[in-house]
Parts: sequence; C-alpha cells; structure tokens
Amino acid sequence: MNVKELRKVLEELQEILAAANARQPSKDVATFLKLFDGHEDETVSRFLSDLEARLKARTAPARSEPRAADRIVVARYTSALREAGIDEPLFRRVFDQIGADKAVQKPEADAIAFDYIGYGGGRSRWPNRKAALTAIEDWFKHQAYEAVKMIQLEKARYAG
Amino acid sequence: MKMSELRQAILQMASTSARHGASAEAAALKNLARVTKPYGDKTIAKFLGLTKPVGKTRKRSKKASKR
Repeated sequence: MNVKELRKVLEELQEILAAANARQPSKDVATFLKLFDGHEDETVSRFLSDLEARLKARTAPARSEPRAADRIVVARYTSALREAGIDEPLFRRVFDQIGADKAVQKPEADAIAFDYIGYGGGRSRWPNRKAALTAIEDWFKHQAYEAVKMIQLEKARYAG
Repeated sequence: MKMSELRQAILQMASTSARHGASAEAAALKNLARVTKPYGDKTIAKFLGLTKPVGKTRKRSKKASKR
C-alpha cells in the first residue's frame, strides 16, 4: 500500500467529519494530511519508518547525568597512588588493583584520574574507563621522568 | 483537536477497514496510529512541527538574498 492510498482513506474521514458538520475536526484532519505532501509515491511502511526517525530526532531525550563516583573507593586509590610516589613496583601494584577492582567503573576511574593528576590536567572525564586508567599511568611516567631528570641535574650540579 | 483524538478516529477507521476485509488498509492505519501514539497530548499543528527535518534552515527573504 502506498501513501496516496492511505491519504485517500484519511480524506474519507475528513469528508465524514465535514458532512457531520464537525468543521474544526475536519480542518484539523486536513492539516494532518499535509504530513503526506510530497510522499504520495512512497510505500506506507517506508514513509512511517522515515517519519518515526524524524520524530525521534526531534524528541530525543536529553542525555542523563553520569552516575556520581563512589568517593570512598576514589579516596582510597588516590591516596595509595600518591603514597607510591615514583616507586614503580608500588605504583604497579596499586594500578593493577585499580584495574582489577570491579568497584572502579568509569565514574570512579575518571575521579581517581582527576584527583591523582591534579584536577585532571584540565579535564574531569575521559571517553572510557581504559582511557582514564591510561591517563593515570601516563601521569605516573611523566612524574617519574621529571624526578629522574631532577636527580640527574642535581648530580651534574654537584659534580661540576 | 489533539493527536490522541485523531488517533482514536484512525483506529476506528482501521477496525472498519478490517471488518470489510481491507487488511492492508487496516494494517497501514494501525501502523500510523502506532507512530503517533507517543504524541497524544500534542495538537496536530504541534505534531506537524515535530515532523519537520532537524536543522531545517529558514528560507532567505528576497531582501536578504539581494544583499
């Protein structure tokens, strides 16, 4: 069945309403028929799926706010990471625990990264849990590199 | 007229069509009623507004297009 045929059926409804002297409803149905303008040759199923897609695009619900992170879990791991300092084996142990802990979901991983990096280095969210964990690891590497650089500078200063 | 009232009328037509053996027509009407169901509280004009493509630009006026 195509849209033209469906339109005819609804035009019948409009005529019935007009014959019953229901002017306003008849006008309203005529307004509704504008929906089919330019789609007469399409099949009804195709037209309705397109219509549904357009309606969904217009009335899509607003994105809900992400779940708040569990502050206890976040505080525990943030302090453990800070205590590890630039000690790699200690950092690895804590980092592996974070990775394996089911309590650390994306909101917690984001919050740990944000607190550990120091206000997130300008960001508070990462695309996914893995990206937040990578940010933590990168920050550790950066800190370790800076510390080694400073030690070498100190050594060079005292040697000279 | 609200979309819910129109939907009721469409469903009435669908049942009439089914009774007369026009099953394709009845199915099409029922399908149309299904699509319009979430918009029952809207007026027909408001519903038509929602069916316009997203980001449709306003037609430029003659004056603006001369500039």
